[in-house]
Amino acid sequence: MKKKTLGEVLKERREAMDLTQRELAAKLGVKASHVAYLENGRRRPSLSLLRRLGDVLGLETEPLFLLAHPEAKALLCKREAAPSKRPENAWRKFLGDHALLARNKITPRELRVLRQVNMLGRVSSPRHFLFILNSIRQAVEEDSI
Amino acid sequence: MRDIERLMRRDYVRALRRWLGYRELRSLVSAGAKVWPQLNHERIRLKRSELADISGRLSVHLSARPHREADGMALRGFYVRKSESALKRPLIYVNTAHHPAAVGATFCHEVGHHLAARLFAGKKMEPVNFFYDAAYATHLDDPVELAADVLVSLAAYPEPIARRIFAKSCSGGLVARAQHLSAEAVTQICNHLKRGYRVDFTRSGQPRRDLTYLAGMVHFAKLRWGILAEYDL
Repeated sequence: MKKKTLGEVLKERREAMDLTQRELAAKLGVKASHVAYLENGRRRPSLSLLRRLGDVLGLETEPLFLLAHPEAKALLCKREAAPSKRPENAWRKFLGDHALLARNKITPRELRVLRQVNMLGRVSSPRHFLFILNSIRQAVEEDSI
Repeated sequence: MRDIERLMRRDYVRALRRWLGYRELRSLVSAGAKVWPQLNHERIRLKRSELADISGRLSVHLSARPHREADGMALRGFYVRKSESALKRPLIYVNTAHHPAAVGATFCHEVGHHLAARLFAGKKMEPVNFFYDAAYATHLDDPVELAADVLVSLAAYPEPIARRIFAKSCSGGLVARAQHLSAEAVTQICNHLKRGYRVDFTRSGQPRRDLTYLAGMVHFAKLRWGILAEYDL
């Protein structure tokens, strides 16, 4: 499926809001012809105009920025591909705390389950892993009764 | 504060159109009505004691206990799917360190995951769904989370109340581009939460916590408005 261009997104949104190019231009503080150029893909908006477009049209500025500067996507994708620092640290700290693992008798199978949980990228503190594990352990115990 | 501003700007109708069709929404409401027959007719206010009963009827494990350690308060709850190797029944965890209304909303959200599993049958589902306080905006980009939130919205704002709040007080009325909540709508929502759920943002003495609850209030109210505007439910 063909991906929409910045101009198409802006035009679609402006029309959904029942705004003319002139009305949108007035809200943005630019000339109506500039809006027309943006929608036709003949101009790229500046960063400050992008922010105003996001505010006026109720759109997220990051996707707008990527539509205006597709070449920046490669840089950002590299950044996103790397796991975020915080959750990864939480997992490393958890794995590295041998005393904690031994004290709580965490089995390799349980570690595999927790590794899956870590891959969701949401757990921000090592203690959360233990908390989640204990909740699951309790449920497994209930199952076996 | 920035999260709230972002939520205020987001187009919820667009997210609903993108992720949840009318048929899917209806089947979610029907499934929810089997758990709470008064869903979308009367306000649902869950008591702690009811959580275990409902979990038992749904054949789901329930873990309801406080989690305050480290940044534990940020975790509102989670839903673990059943798996052949580990859990024979799914597990719902709710963090009871929160305000009772927030505990009820979390439980409702996790039940939403349980009920929505059928909607998304055949799609790859995560083994665990986490509900974090500050992640409402991400729910708009995730059909699984959005479906779970729909149930919370319908429970907190049944149709008669939703019509009273959104159809009359918002400048755009029920046009399908629900975006900004008017000041009048926000006042009515605050009154509704104060009367129905004893949530008072001005009296808790915990500004940071209030802000996250406020973000939740904006999110669920805008979602409810979107459902009314887009699907007339």
